[in-house]
Amino acid sequence: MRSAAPEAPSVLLLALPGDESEEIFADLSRRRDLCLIRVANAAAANRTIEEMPVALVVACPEVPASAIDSVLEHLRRARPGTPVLAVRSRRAQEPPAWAGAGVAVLRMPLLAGVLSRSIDVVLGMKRRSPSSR
Amino acid sequence: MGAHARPPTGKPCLLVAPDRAPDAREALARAGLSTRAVQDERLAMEAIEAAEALAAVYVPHDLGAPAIAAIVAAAGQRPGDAPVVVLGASGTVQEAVDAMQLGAADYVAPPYAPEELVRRLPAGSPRARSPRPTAHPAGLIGVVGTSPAMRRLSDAIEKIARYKSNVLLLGESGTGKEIIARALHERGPRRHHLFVPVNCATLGREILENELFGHERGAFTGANERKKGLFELADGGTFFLDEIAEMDVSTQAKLLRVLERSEFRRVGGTAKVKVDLSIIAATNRDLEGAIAAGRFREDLYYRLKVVTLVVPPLRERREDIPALVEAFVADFNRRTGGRVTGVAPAALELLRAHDWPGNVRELRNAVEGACVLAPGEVVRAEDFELLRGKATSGRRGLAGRARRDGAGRAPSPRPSPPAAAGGDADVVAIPIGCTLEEAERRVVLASLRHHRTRARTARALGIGLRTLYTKLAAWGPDGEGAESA
Repeated sequence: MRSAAPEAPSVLLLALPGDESEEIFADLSRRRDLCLIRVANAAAANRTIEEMPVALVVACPEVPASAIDSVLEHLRRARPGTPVLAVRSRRAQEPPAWAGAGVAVLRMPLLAGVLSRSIDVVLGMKRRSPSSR
Repeated sequence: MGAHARPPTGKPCLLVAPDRAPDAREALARAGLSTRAVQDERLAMEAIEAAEALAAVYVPHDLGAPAIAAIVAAAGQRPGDAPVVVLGASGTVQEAVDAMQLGAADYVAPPYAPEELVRRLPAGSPRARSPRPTAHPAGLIGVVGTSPAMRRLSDAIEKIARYKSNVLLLGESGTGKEIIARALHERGPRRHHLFVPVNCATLGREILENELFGHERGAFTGANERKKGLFELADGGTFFLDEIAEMDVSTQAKLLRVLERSEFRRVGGTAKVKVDLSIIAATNRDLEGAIAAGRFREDLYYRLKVVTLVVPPLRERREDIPALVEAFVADFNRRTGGRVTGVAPAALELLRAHDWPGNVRELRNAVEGACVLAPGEVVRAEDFELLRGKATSGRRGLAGRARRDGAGRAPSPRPSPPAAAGGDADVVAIPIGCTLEEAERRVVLASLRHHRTRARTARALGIGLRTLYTKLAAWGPDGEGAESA
């Protein structure tokens, strides 16, 4: 976890180690207004969700849909309404249930700054509407 | 303005398709923002281009992804910041994220509260708060100049480089399109990957396709091994296709597939190869004319032209010539160990007055040549004249142009013929009674003035280059100078 401003919302990054996720998160790494927590698998993500007030979950493209399903299930019980941003490859098929479970999909390739701005708007919306539409 | 947030910036906002977001117009008015409304994306793009300043562009999500992307691209090419804010319809997280993926700076969910709309203005918007490179655009590698034209271009490069988008570069030959392409790559998210330049005019269709797409073993005689193409090798990076107008139409179809689906097949292969590339294409040709003539695919053109940058010719940014000369002299010294310290003011004046039909490339060659010829540490006007073989002529070459172009300077020593006096270089006046030889001389010299180089002039006249040289030599400096003075 990286140091951030005291009031910074916690963003849980679910990503396997590797260059691809490094590049995806490059935009975020300079931000001090977010508390970034990076985990490599669903089990670690679920433990973090239990222990910390996670405001948003971001999943990298290489994370299997089943792992995201596991996190969604855990969020539903532990922190309902927490939005999830799933970064997926251009042609990946997502489970239909995701749309109703607060998952928004970002397609690769990501333009510079898109993930950062997406987090801004999603957190802004969440602050306005805690139920996360 | 009411009690909403901070005062407006003074710049007007643009609201696109207000009928699709009727509440937004009222909310913007209640926020005290000066707002101009336009009905569709075409009018929006015109308004964005024409406006001197814009605080923000508000676009309803219902307008559709292609229209939003086009508006974002148009706003991104403005010299000033004009963030595009998408006005949501359903207010879902997915809708907001889709807007960001289209390049919007921000998103407002319905209902549109005035304070939310004001919060999106540049000084307070998340986009403006996001960390950004602080280097001045003038620091772009290889991009030299502080003229208004170059500052606009540098600003556009700064904005466009943030995105992994495809770019079309237009500009005359020698204006430095490849340098701009490299600057886009080096400032962008792909800078850690390869920049691969390919000139489409230098390779035949089959060789070009083989180079771009590679081939499978046995695809043709001599294909003993599978060969990866340049697209594959450049995966993750930026591909620069120079002189795209010269690409064969069948190759254009394959390039279109790469642009649309990020995939292709190697020559002789059936398997699809996926790549993640940004394509920068460049040309000095009229692509719309090429489309009309059936030499260029319209769908490829529209795919490429989403973000278009026009690189200005050197004659439209003469104030950059001293800085360019300084850069070229420094480069000459670095490469050759030369000790040239500068260029004399008279020489700079000479260079500023020249039209530079070959643009920056021509200037670079002229400076390098003059550096070689200069007897001392300072390059003189005569050194540039020597390059043209016109050291003593006052009416031709660079010096001649300097005097002709400079307002109020040395008048023409002889009355100009009607073609020159009229200022219409495309018309040649042949007086009744003129000899055939004199008519020929006038046509040839007017063509030379129009086409600027002897090679192009010879081609245009349908004569050999040697024939042209022979004629010019026969007429001598006075004969040629009489026409051009």
